[in-house]
Amino acid sequence: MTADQRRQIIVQTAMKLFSRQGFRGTRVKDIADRMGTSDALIFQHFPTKRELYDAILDEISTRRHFKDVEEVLYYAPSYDLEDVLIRLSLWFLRQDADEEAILRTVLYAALERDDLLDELVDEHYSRIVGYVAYEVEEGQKAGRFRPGQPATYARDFFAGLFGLAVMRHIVRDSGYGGEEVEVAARNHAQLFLRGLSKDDFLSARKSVLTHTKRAKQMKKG
Amino acid sequence: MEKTLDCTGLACPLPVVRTNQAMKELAAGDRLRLISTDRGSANDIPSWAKRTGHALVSAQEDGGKFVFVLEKAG
Repeated sequence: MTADQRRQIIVQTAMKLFSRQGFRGTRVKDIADRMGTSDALIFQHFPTKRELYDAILDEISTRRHFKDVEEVLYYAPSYDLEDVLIRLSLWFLRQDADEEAILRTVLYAALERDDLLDELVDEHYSRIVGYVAYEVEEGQKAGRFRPGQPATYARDFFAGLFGLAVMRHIVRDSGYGGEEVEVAARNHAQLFLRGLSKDDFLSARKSVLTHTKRAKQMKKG
Repeated sequence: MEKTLDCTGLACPLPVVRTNQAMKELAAGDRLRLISTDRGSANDIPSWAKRTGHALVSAQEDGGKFVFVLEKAG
């Protein structure tokens, strides 16, 4: 086994343990025991537990997250927004289904208030949010979408996906996990676009105004 | 024909996304001059061109401004 392969196995094993016990709750000895080796060998590759953790977050952010999403965005056959949002939703929901440890590690990093989570958010998620916000703004300029902050709408899109992933893979609520990933991704993207639609927004506002007016009249009468 | 695409101020992945969009609207042999201020473009645009088969005619950097000329493949 080469040094690189051994390093990779250490990272994978550590990710499984961190994702179940958190960074603080995992000792290097636990990782060594799981691998059937000594902690001295792990220290040869990673002199501190922190360096091992950095390698994990690096793995999540570069290999998994951004490389995959580059595929979705850089080489898209078309930029029909519904199509792109469905593919982004699929990417998000699938990666967590494939490797639940990633989602759990991100959640632990958030709970333990780890600085490296900021890097993940600033370097990676914010770029994807930026892309969706840009498309929302273009739709607003073209008169298709309701007014409002494009970045806020874009964050809603990802917050919804994140919540869906947590309910499916961490809480394991069957009501959220019952449908296929493809159906869940399509529903999420379509509901988001429907909510952004200017026509729906105007008719919903009109109906609220009418309802309020009627309620006031009834009160008077 | 040469078209200019100004992506000044746009962050990754938008310069690549907009380049991909713009190239789809060009005919084979047409050129696209892309201006970007995103540092990631320095690597992203050449690797995108290589993979999609479009020719990177030139790439220059001047004070944080990247200018690429791409030619659409036939």
